[in-house]
Amino acid sequence: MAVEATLSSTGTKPEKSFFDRLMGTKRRRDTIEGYIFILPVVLGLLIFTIGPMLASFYISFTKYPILRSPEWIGLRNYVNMFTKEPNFWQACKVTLLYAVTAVPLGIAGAFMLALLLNQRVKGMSFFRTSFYIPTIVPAVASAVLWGWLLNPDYGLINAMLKTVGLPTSRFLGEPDSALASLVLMSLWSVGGGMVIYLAGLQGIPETFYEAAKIDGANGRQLFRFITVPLMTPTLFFGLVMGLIGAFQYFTEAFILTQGGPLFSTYFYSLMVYERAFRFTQMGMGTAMAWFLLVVVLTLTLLVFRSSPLWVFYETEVK
Amino acid sequence: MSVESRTVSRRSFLRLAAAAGGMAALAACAAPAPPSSSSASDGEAAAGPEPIELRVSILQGAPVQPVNEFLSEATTAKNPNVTAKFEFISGDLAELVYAQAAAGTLADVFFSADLYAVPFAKNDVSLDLKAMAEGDPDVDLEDVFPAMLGLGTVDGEIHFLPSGLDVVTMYYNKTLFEQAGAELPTDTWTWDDLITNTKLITEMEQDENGNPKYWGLSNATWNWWATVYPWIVGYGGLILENDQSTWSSPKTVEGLQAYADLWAKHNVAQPLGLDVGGDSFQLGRAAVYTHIQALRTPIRDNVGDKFEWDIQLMPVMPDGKHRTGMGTWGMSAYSGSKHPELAYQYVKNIITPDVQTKMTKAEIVVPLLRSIAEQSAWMDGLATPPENFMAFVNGADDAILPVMDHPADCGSFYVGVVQQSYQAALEAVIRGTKGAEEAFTEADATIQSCLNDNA
Repeated sequence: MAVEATLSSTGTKPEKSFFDRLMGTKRRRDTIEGYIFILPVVLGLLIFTIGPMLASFYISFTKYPILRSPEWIGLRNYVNMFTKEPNFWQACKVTLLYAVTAVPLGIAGAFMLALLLNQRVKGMSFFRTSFYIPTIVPAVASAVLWGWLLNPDYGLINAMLKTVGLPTSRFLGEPDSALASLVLMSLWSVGGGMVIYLAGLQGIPETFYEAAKIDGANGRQLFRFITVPLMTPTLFFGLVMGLIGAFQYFTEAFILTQGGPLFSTYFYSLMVYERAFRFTQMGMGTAMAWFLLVVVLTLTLLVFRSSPLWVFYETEVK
Repeated sequence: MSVESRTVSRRSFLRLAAAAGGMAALAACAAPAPPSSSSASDGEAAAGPEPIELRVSILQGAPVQPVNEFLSEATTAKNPNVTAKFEFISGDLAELVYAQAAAGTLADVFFSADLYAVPFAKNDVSLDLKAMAEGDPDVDLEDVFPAMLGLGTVDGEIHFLPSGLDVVTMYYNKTLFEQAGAELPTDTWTWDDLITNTKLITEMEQDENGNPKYWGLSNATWNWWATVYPWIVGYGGLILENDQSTWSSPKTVEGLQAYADLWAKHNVAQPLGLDVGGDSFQLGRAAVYTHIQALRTPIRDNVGDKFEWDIQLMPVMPDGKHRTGMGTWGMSAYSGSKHPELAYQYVKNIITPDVQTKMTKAEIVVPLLRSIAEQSAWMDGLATPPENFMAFVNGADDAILPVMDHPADCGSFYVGVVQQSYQAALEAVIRGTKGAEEAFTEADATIQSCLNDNA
């Protein structure tokens, strides 16, 4: 090996360099090499993720207007958040409402599209691509586009409603319809979920369907007893990711409504951003962000804990 | 490849990797780079020929860039060794300025505006220019309209010098008034006169759902302090008295209710949240639009010959005055600049007669120096419309300043808890979901809580 290969022609063993002594045995050397190879990632994680997280946790216990030093105030930000922030509960309500409507609708929409696009019909690639394209449009561009479509005065959607004789809506301009309009907008990007569900559908072995058909199962029974159960792991994934995304919803509301009208689209992330960067109350902003983390973590854990009740794996025996 | 050479190569690689990792870690932990301005002191700069590059952070294009070209020219004329290097910024100015100030990389001179005066001053971002200006023979602070200077004055310190006399004035669509059979606005109009006449415009034509096709008043500036606060002052109200938030005091509520009634009762204003695909005044859909002089050029360019328009003083309030607000932009010097004196020398040019005259003739500003504004010569050769240029100047007589006495952590008319609270309450009143007393009592409670926490 390396040490043998560096023996001199006289047969005497040359003195080991400092580096060789440091490296020691092959096992030790392999270990050191391994650590060195993962060092950039570990450093990146420590410097750009763990470090800021710890810093933000500390800042959440301070009064920190960015340009002045943080001043330790204990739990005051957390207490004020729940007791004094006039729009805190409104932001929680809006975000929760969005999550419980947009996530199930998004999953259902994506799943139905995947079922349709799992059929063997001509031009399927075109349809799959068409439904997927909206997900690669930048969020800002799609928000602006939807702003035009939903414009009460000259928007395409109101024009279509007028054409077929239906009443028009102010959409994002009215408190009653603004949140629903954002939920509607969110369905535009179901193509991302659709691709995942399509992959899940194509992963179901054909033999299951064949065996069920031999046993006399009809189309509805095939869907109910084979497709749905075997898709639950994929739906579970969609639910977890959807929930996390919904609780962090920001861009479209930031661009189109700024939380209005009358705080009807005042999402939690908007509030965090506003506190931290507009009001320069970084302490309160980070406290709110940590509360959001706890909520999302709790909900995710609940979903995980509920999964044995409704998620089925192909090889699982219950 | 031999075993030996493979071994040596791997060692070299590992050494390189370790060195690179260490350097990356050091680089990540390194302090932010110092400002890129020359390290020479002001004293050296003034005395010697050593070239100095003054960093100037501005918005690109008119009106800020051409004004800064005048400022740069004037600075270099007096200090030949100094050149201004423009750094163009966009997006949220406050965020950018705070981030750069925190990192110590903010430009020596930077664009600012009335809304940033208090937060930048109270966070020690902007330099107090008062002492330097008072001792400067090139500058006459007494000649500047006090209201305009007041926009950049915080606790007696001057934190930005304003660009022009930007008083909120009434732009009106003559054609629309005439089509509706309404009288044209005069300088003696009260708000009741405006309501009576603009009702004719709002009632002139409806769409199939019964919504007005035209409105008396644009909604573009509905929540701007310079639009809202004059109603409070005009009705004798206050928003802050002896560290007590007084948004729900009777006179304040009366003024705010009267303002909200333009929508809620008289139905003469463009509904909130109704976007007509651009500025409703410029599109000919709103008869009246209230803004500063800087809008005259884009309005002239965009309106073309679609309709005739002019400007007029804001209508008279119950206190008998043409109450209106002001808003302007200007230039500030960075408190951490290595060239504070030169930064001031650059900024001060904005209120010198020479630069003010150049800016006026270039149609960028209405002069903010009394000695120029009160002579008719400044209007000679300016493009029309508008015709009634003196409305831009005369409005300054009754113009008011924003309240800037809230603690920085509570914000102001422009930002933070104060802004969010009053705008939310006002929106609720205009939309008719709450009465003014209820809405502003809630706003008061929120603002007062912040005042108490920051007493």
